[in-house]
Amino acid sequence: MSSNKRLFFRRLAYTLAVIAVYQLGQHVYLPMVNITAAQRALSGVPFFRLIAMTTGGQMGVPMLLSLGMRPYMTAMILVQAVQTVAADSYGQLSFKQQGYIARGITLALAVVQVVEMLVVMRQAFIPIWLPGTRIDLAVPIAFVLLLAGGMFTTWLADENTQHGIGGTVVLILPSLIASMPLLLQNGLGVSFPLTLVHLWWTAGISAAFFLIMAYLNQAELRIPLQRTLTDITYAPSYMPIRLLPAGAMPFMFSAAFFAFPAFFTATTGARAGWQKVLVTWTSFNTWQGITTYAVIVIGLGYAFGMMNLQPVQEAKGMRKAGDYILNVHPGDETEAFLMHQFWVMSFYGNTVLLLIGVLPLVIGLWIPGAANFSQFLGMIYILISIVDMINQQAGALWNKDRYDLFA
Amino acid sequence: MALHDDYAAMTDADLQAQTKQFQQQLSAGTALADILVPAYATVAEADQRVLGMRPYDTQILGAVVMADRNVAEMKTGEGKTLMATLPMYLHGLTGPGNFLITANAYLANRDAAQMGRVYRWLGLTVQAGASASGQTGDDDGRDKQAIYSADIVYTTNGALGFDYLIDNLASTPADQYIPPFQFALLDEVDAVLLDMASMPLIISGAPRVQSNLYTLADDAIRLLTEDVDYELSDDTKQVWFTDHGIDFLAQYFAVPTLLDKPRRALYRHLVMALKVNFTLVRDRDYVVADNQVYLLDLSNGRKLTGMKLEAGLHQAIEAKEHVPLTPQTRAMASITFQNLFRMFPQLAGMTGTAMTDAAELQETYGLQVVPIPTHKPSIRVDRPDQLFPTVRAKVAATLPIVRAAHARQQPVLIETGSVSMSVLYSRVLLNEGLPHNLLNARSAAKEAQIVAEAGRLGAITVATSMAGRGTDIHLDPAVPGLGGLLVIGTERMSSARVDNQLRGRAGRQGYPGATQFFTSLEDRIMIEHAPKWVDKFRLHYTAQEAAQASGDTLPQPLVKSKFRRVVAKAQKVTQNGQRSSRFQTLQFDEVFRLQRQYIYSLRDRVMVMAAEPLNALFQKVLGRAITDFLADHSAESVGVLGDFIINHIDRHFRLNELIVNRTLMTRQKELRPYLAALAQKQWEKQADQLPEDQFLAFQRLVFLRALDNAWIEQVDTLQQLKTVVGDRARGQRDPTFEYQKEARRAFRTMSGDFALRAMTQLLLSELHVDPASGSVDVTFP
Repeated sequence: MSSNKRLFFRRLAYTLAVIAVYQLGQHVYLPMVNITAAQRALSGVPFFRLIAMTTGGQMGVPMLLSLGMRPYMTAMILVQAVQTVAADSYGQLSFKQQGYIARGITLALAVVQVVEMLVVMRQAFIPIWLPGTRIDLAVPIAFVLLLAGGMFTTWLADENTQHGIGGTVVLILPSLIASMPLLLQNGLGVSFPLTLVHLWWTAGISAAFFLIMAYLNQAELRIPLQRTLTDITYAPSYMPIRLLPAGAMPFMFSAAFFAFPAFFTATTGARAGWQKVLVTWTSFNTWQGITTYAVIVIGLGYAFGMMNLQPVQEAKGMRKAGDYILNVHPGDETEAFLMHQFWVMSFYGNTVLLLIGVLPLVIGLWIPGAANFSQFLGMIYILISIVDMINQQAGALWNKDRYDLFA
Repeated sequence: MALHDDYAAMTDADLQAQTKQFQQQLSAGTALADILVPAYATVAEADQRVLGMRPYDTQILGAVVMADRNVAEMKTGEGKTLMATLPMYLHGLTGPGNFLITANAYLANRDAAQMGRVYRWLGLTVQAGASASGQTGDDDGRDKQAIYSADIVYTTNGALGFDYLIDNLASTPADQYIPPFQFALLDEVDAVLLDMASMPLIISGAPRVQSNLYTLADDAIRLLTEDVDYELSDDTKQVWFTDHGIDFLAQYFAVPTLLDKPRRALYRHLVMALKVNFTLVRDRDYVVADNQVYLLDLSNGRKLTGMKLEAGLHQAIEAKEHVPLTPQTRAMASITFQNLFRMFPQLAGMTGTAMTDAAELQETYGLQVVPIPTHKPSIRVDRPDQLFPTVRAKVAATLPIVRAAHARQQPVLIETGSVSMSVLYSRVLLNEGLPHNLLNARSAAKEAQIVAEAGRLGAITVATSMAGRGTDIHLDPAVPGLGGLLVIGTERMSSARVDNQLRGRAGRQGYPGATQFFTSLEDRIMIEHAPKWVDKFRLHYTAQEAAQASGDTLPQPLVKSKFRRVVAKAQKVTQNGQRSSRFQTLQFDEVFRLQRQYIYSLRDRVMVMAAEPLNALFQKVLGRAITDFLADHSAESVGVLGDFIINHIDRHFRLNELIVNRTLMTRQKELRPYLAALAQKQWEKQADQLPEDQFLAFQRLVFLRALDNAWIEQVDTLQQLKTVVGDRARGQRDPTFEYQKEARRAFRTMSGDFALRAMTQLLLSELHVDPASGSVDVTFP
């Protein structure tokens, strides 16, 4: 077996091992908590469950690895944002310093999440007394354990990037796949009957959707670039603007954004007038809520897209490197040109996102249960983007030294 | 060392017989590590007897460290040359393929001659690999056959690299000389593996069509005004046109716009002219000598012979300097030092400065750095840096120190940041009436002489960072009494390691010495990487200074605490940048390496391939060429098809046949076998003209030639693809991954190109057999 295939299998084995360890950790309960009470408290917050499904955590149950990948993934996005906003200073740091910053943000986010959980579960703790005193150590210990679990997950994800296949998101896969049927059935609190007819419909829609999205995920606009300081024969130059630059990110985070107000009102309990309005506007079952959701999805789509393209930086960079687009002045005119292309592509891209996320909700106003498709399809899309990435990586690895002049 | 007495007692003949014994043991299967101790003892004793120098304990320690996969960090002057004899002998026992790489040809030749005596005495063969004049190429008078069949070769990295590349351009095995790589010992390993790592060795050739727009563009650029027609970036490394500038030039050339398709070439040349006029500075980035433009190696200030900037930039510089334009060439073969040395199964190195970059050496090459204590403890004094606001103040501050040292007859070595600074400083010293030597890229030929004099009483030497590495500076006997060599650095270089190299020049072997660095806010690294408040301070200060110009008072160094770390920080930023660019080069080069490996091994196989397998390959080649044509031009006219046939298959084909067979055009499926049959017929016709073995040779030649031509384009493409992909590193796209994808795509395009070339050359070459001698003349299409 060529060394490359060996490497591939070794990496695959490593990834499987990492997933196994992670899944194992998902069954280690926190020792100082009354499980049933905690579960009751946590499941009262549907927001947690939704988050957990998309980030490989298990916030409905008090376990060591409850935090899942959420701190890491959010931190990744924040770091990207930092990179965008403060590109020059960030670029001047050494790799080590950049690593520390990313870790620091992850830690901070993990702390926030742990506190969230502890607040909700506060009634369910079994006190652990410091010997000889009346100091209850249950909560501090729980805090440390949960935090450690979160950072452990982060470390696992990094290790997988280095030695395995699929980077960091592979850890999400098992819980994603496992939770999909559940999501379809009951995701947004509306039940979707699983009769045979329904299942056939689901299969058909899913298959069609899968094929279409797998194709659309790769779609990009290629703007031909002219390069003045290079002179290449075999590779034309172009700048890609993806149709769906954010990938499935809006779906991973829109639910969080959306459900936060509901969570907020749920915990505070009071039912004042303005809170009722808030609930209306953040419910999946009202047209007001659907509109809000649509706005959030579009907003996230644009935000992620901008972070990916960064037209200002791009135009500046092009000018400095001597590259240009035919018939467009470098500098401001190029920036305007890129922005225009971006708006156009984003328009189409966001339309696609709306079709996935909002159309089912709209249909759900008439056909009960159809609303669940919104989350369901979103999950499929997330799955597609993850599998696509893994596939590309694996392909690259498999093919690394397979060159054949006569193929 | 314990065996010292035993070995000292052996007779000459006995000692020499040891070699044979070791070689027998090795061929019987003993591991190299097992015979290390007796082998080292042998060489140590031989050193004593042949050269009269016995290695110190510290040197033996270093030698053990260097036996494999380690870097011995040993201060300059500790006797690295002698120490190297031990591991070289050990590995030399295994036969050819062992190299000791030094920085320049002079050292390689000198050491081969000196240390060579020991090896020869012990029965191994030694050769010097680099030519005396430092030239490489076919006409440099070296006998490559003799050189590379020796057990131990002393050579330079450039010579080895180029010879490797040239080996792989050979058309027959007889022209290949390099043995399989066994062991390489790198002197100044940090310079070779780190500073020079990202620079590829390129064999240029295959000139492109010459453009005549360079001078035209250069003239136009000179008409522009800064900030109106073009702008410079803050770090002065980039420059670009403003809209006004582009419009102005469009007017100048009387065209509606410069940015459309027809004007692409013109615009390209203008951008290049802009870049070379305002970001590349003479005597800093390049020198002009003998009516030619030479690039400078920024880390050591030396001229880079044989290296040119790509894509026409070099020609743009030539136009700027009004020097005759040289042909624009392509990269025909390329390899980076990183990849060259990673091909050695065993690698070791020695240098005076490696600890600062130990992590990188470990990660990239798997080399561990081991510091070797000095034989005598170092009593060098490193005085703290002094920072000045302007270059002028800095230079003025160094003068009293130089004067005082000179008055005491203490030798001084002054390092400057660039060729032009060294010249400037030299003029200042002339003004002061201080006699001195000047060493920079322009006076490189006299390097040995200048360095030899640098340690004399009362010597003053002004040099660029060239002075950091190379021949040792020997001190006159009276000099230690005066405090040893005084090294003054007038600029911090791009990494602390390079600075430490310079410091190492003073105080070797336990002798006294002193070093001090003087820096200013106007130094290059400060301009490029200092924080914004420093820039503001500098601008504010120079305005003030001009207002109170006083010639007599001695400038004061800046001592406020905020200044203390500023220079070190700027250096760190530069270092980090270099590290990440090296890292990225490594990643990219991995892709390059795999393709290169495939092509080179294919070449090797084809060179000796028998008729049958070669014919099978050619079948595939023809198939590919036809498939590609049909894929691109499926339903086109008789004209296009006929064109293809005449230009690639059969020159004497009659178009009539196609018109008669008109129906063929509509039935795609039949077109392919039709073309294949035509090609086959032509192939047989060619084969009939020559006897079998000669046709085989012809086929091999055709294959290699087409492959080489296609590979040249591919090398060029891959090389330039690196810059292209860097731009795509936005939005979660891994640049390495993108590079691999693009490189793969380019490979596919190249293989199509290759197939077409090969087919054309196979079928259309004219073969003339000379009846008398039986030799064949081939005229390629």
